Formats: sequence, C-alpha cells, structure tokens
Amino acid sequence: MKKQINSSVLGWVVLIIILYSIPIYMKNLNWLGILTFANIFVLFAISWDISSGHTGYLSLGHTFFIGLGGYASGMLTHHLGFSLFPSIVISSLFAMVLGTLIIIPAFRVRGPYFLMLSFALPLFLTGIVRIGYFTDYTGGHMGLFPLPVFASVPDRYKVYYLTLTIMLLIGIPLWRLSKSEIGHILRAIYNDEELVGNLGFNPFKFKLLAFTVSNFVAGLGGALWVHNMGSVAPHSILDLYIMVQIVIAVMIGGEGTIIGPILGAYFCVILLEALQPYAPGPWRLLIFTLIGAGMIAVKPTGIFIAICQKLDDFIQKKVRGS
Amino acid sequence: MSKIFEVENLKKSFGSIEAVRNVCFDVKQGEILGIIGPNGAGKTTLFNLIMGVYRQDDGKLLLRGHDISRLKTFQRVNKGISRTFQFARNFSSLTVMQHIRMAMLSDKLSLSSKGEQERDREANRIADVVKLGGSKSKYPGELNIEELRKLELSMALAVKPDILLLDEMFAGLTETESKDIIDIIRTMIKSGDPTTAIIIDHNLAALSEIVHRVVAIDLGEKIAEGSFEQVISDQAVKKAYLGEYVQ
Amino acid sequence: MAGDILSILILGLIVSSMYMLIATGFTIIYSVSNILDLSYFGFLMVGAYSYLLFYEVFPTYICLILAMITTSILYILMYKVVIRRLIDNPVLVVVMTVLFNLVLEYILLIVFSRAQRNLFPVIPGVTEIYGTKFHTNMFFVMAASSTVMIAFWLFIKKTYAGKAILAISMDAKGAKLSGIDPDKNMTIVYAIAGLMAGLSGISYGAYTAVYPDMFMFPLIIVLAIVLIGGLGSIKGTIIASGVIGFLEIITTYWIDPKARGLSALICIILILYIRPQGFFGRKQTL
Repeated sequence: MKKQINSSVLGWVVLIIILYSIPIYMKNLNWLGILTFANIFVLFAISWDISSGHTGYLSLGHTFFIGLGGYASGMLTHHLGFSLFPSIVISSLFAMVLGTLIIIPAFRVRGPYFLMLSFALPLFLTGIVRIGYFTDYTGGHMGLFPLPVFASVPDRYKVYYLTLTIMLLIGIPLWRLSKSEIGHILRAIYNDEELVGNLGFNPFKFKLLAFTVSNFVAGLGGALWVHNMGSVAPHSILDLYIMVQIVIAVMIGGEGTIIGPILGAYFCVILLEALQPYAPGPWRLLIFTLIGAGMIAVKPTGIFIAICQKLDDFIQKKVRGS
Repeated sequence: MSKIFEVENLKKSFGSIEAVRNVCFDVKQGEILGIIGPNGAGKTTLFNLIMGVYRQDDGKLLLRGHDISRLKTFQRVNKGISRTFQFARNFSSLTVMQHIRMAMLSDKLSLSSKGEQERDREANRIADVVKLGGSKSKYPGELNIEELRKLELSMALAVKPDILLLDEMFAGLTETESKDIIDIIRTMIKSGDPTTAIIIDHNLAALSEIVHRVVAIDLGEKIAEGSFEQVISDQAVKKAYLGEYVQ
Repeated sequence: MAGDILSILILGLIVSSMYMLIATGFTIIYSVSNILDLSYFGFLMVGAYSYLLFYEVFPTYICLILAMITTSILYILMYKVVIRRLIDNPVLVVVMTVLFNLVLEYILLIVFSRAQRNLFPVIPGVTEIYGTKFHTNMFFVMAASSTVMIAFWLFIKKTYAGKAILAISMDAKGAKLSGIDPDKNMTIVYAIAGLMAGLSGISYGAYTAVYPDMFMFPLIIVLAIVLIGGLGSIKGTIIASGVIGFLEIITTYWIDPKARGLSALICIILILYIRPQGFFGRKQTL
C-alpha cells in the first residue's frame, strides 16, 4: 500500500498555524490592522471566485453585493441602533436575497451582456445612494459615520482573530464545496454549459446556488468591512478599484480553486501596503496594477495555484520515495 | 416490440427557411434506426429539436408515450434520451474518468460517499464498454479523434438513457476505427444498455452494418423509410444524393 | 416653450451623434473578433489628452487630425502587442483591458494631475438660435461625428477592405478561406476604431471636460446603447444612441444637471428586467 499524504490538508494546517501565530511574533499594530483588512478582503475574493471564477459568468459588479451588505449594516446600526452581530447576520442575508433576485434575470444572457449588466450595478447603487431623496438614510456622497466598530485600538488583536476565524469558517467550507461534485459541475459550466445540460444537470440551478452563496459571503464581507472601518461611503466600498483588486487577487490565485484566491488576496493586500512608503498616491496603484497584470499574463490560470500544485507534486514524490 | 419514441408532425422554420417540414417517424424499443440524407437536409436540426436545443414550431415528441416537446434539454435527458455531438465536445480540464463520473451523477446530487466503490466500478465498466480502459486518466487534449468520440459515447452512456442519439459518430474515422465503434454499438444494444439508438451518419457502409431500419430525409422532409437496402435503392433517395442525373 | 423644445432637439441630435460614434468604434471590434476590448475607452482618453498636448504647438484643426492619427497608431500598437495574444481568451481580454484603462488612468494622474481640463474648442464661440445660445464647437462635433460615420459606412459598402471586414464579421472561417487575412483586417479595424476613439475622446472632452478617469462615463453610455441596440447591429446602435442621447438631454435639462449618467443606468437596469438580450437581439452583421 503506497503511502499517501493529503497535501491539501497539510497546506491548510500550515496556513492556519501561520495566520494564527502572526500576532505573537509581529507586534506592529499597523500591519495587524492591514492583515485584519486582508482577512475580510479574502471574503470578497472567494465570493467572487465561487460565482464568476467557477461558472465563468464574469461579473464586474461584485462591489454591488458587497455594498448591499455594507450599507444594510451601516444603516441598521447607525439609524436603528442594532447591535453588531445581528446587524451583520441580517445584512448578509439581505445581500444574499436581494442580490440573487437582482442577478437572476441576467442568467438568461450570454457572457458579454452579463458582464455589462453586472458592471452597471455598483454604479446604479452609487447613484441611488446619492439621490437627494435618500441621503438622509444613506448619508449620500459622504456616507455614514461613525459606525460601531468591533473594538477600540488596544483590542486590535481581538479583531484580527475574529476576522481570521470568520474567514476560515467561510473559506474552508467554500473550498470543500469547490472540490465537491458541485464544484466540478460549476467549473464544467464555465467550460461548456450546453454540454452540462446534456448530461442531465440543470445549469440554472447550479448557477443560482453559486451566486446565492457568493452574495451571502460578499454581503458578510461588506458588513464586516464597514464595521472595521467605522464608515460606509460610495467611493470606498463601491469603487471600481476594489473590483479590480478582487479580479487581480482571484486571477493570480487561480480561478475556480478558492485556495488560490485566498493566497492571492493576502498577496494583494500585503503588496499594496508594502508599496505605501515607496510609492505615493497613483504610483502605488500603478505599480500594483502593473505587477498584477504581469502576474496574470505570465500564468493566466493562476500563479499561486500552480505553486500549490508544484508543492503537492514535490511532497508526493518525497513520500513515495521514502 | 413497442414504440419507445415517436416524432409526430414536427415542423421548424428559421425565418424563411423551413428546416424541418412535417417529419413523422417512430422508433421501436431495441432497434437501431438510421437517419440519412444529404448535407443540409435537416438531420442535425432534427436531433436538436429532439433534444430541446430548439423549440419546434409545431408537432410532438413522445418518449414512451409522454410528450417531452415542452421540456428543457436537461429534463429530456433525465427522462431517458442522450446524445453525442457532431463536433466532439468535452471538458478540457477533466480526465476521461472524471468525465464519466460526472455524467453518472444525477441532477439531485447525493452528498453521501456511500456507494463510492460502486460508482467507481460502474465508471470503470463504462470506460471498458467504450474501450477507453487504458486512457482513463488522460485529458481530452491527449486523445485522438476516435478516442474523443468514445469519450463522448461514454458520457452519453453514463446518464443511463433509454435512447441514444448518435450524431455523425463515424465522421473522420478510418475503416478500422469505424469497425471498432460499430462493435461497441452492437455490444451496447445487445446488452440492452441502452436498448435503442438513432444514428445520423453519412458513412453508409458503417450504417449498413448496424441499423435495423432507415429513414431518409431531404430538405426537411422524410422521403423514404424502410430497411437499409430498400431505402438506398429508392429513386427519391438517389435523386436527393445525386441530383437530377439518375437513370 | 418652443425655444426649450428646439434646444432639446438640437442638443439631443448633437449628443446622439457623438454617442453613436463612440458606440460604433467599440462595436466594430466586437463584431469582427467577438471580444470586448474595453481599452477602447482608455483610448478615448488618449485622444483627448493628445489633443491637449498638441495644442501647445499646433492650431486646432491640425491638433484634431494629429490626435486622431496618434490614437489610431497607438491603438494598432495595443492590438499588435497585447490584444492579439489574448484573442483566444475572452475573459482574459476583458480583465487585461480593464487593467489597461486603470494603468492609463494612473499614468495620466501622475503626469497631468487630477484637475479637470477644458478642451480648447476646434471652433470657438457661440451660436444663437431662436434666443438660445449653443457652443459652436458642439455643431462641429456633430458634423465631424456624422461625417466619420458616413465615411465608415461608405468604406464598408464600397471598398474591398471594408467588404472584407463585413465578411469576417459574418463568418471568420469562411472569410479566411476566401483569402482574407484576418490579422491584416484586424489591423485595419483597429486603425478605424482608433480614429473613432480619438475623435470621440475629443468630442466627449469638448462636451464635458478632460480628466483621468473619463473612460468610465462613455463606458456606461456605450453599455446602455449596446444593451438596447444589440452588439453588432448598426441599425440598433443608431436607434439606441438616439434614445440614450435624447434621454440624457431631457433628464439634464428638466430634472437635474447632475443626473447625467443616471438615465443611462436606469435604462440598463430596466433592460435587465424587461429584455436582457436587448431589442435588436442576436449579433447581426455590420
């Protein structure tokens, strides 16, 4: 009986150990805050991956669903005095239900149209949020603040561990989903949707599942972000720039793999922060985007997942050799 | 033998082009029906109508007496029809084995891992039926055209159809390769898995070896029906293939 | 009241012709190659900013021509260096062209700063019609856009190169078999689209202003036009441009000048629910 080792499990264990032990060795509070944001950003990335990354229905409007969650929680806590935990849960469900209802009609159309329709969604939300009629509720251009935050400065450790735990509680099941038969079918839809139908699967059902899960996680991410930052405004949460970061994170990680986008997300956030002292303003974004584009061009299927694959091969060889 | 599939007064037009004009035929359980006709006669359109790729303008499709003409493709597949395509289709990032296993899944996925071994056995069996046993871990990119056709066949089988529609399975195959496929199809039908098949093809020699009956189509209409010999000696069929220069 | 209606009619025509030009450049690329090359909108900016740069030295008419030619050349370069390599992967094309637009935006931010610039008009001054004043340059924009559109239409119908493009948009394989070289044709398509992008950028800049993220707004407008009129249908594009153009004028005139993009967005959202496949449906030939 050949010795076999499940390198994915090993990989997860290593990743979890690293992530949990970072605050023990690194005492820089600024970086801790960045990594806290990264934990949340991972939710943005994997939610986009499970839908667009797996099914190939490219949406450039993911910030719309994130924004639904963010604004819902912002308004619930700011105007109605909800406490954090229920507000976040309700907002995630809100993003899931409303978001999915809104995107369902778009499933009828082909790729280019789906892309264009989805692209309009965050712009539309921005417009609505800024309409004079609603600004009392939404805070208009300037947004809503202050919002209850998770904890004050000394407790940044708590916030880090909280967001990290949430990330893993969502990320690991999503990864399992991706590896399951459902995940295979979703990726098959990307490959050849008509053929999937010819194998007796209802493509609509699977797309619906993917996007429903995606919208929930996106809404959750949005709500968490908004309370981490203490405010919600259109230019922060609905910006194209966030969408681009998500796309870069998922593409350099590897579409349709979940674990790739997780690594890609951390990489993006860390890179952006690392560039900060060296490259002011637009330079930072310029360099980041160029690096991202370069990494995608070099390996369109995902650099990080390729690295994971190589590591897996290496480990398997070692195990078989001994 | 009972009728397992019936096509009644099927009509389909695309704009001003009448692709299928009032086609009627039926298929009995256990038989292999061949459909022949010159290019552009409407054969593949017929398959597409049967599978639900297009919605017919008029007419009915009856599977074991049930009208399936309003169902979506995946529903028809679940009722017992599957097909292969004219240009081999597959999932480029899956191995042969993964293709078969996916095709075996039912629409209502079971989350349990029970019966895992049984599923493996079944998948291996299907791979052997189509004679792809040695290529189970290969990707479509590594397969030649005959193997790609077999892969398609394996998927169509894995959904456990009562009727199998084969669209130009022999296109591009050499005589030896065709013989291989003929063997596979014969064995399949004999073992009742599936029981029935409808085959469209231009390779009349290959067809002659397996079909029980033939329907000839030209310009969207049925022009002849009967045994293989009857149909190919039919004047109307000759004219359709050879034009006006028939003595 | 009559003056109002006249203004709306005139402005509507001007804006519609401008939007039609913008949309056509984008659409011809899709028609011929089936890819969504979003960098087209970035090249609108290239057109506008090069006009600004040339203005330091040359008179306005020359600036216009030079800017259009520059944009065209650079767009061809973009095709040869980037797009051509990605043409088999539509997802990658969208991703990379969006990234390109952002890179362009950041470069422009660095070089030109965030400030909005005003484009020096090709024809300065004001025209008065029935008591309402219009920027004369806007009439020039309308004339230029219409001229380019007509020239393009003639090119497609009358010249060999144009007919070749038409053929490819109908059936790429068949066209190749007839001896038409797809790469040479794409180059011509990109040359034309580049000229259109250049003029569009200058027109749009004249209509509003020039700023580093000005690719977004025309992108939304073209989105709406293409969703209503269908990708690749000239008839659809013309009608949809008219609809979007007039809607915009009506909303900015009568409701709120700041609501400029909102009418287009609402159209997009409505289409999502009423008819996601657009009104002029399937991809038709040019």
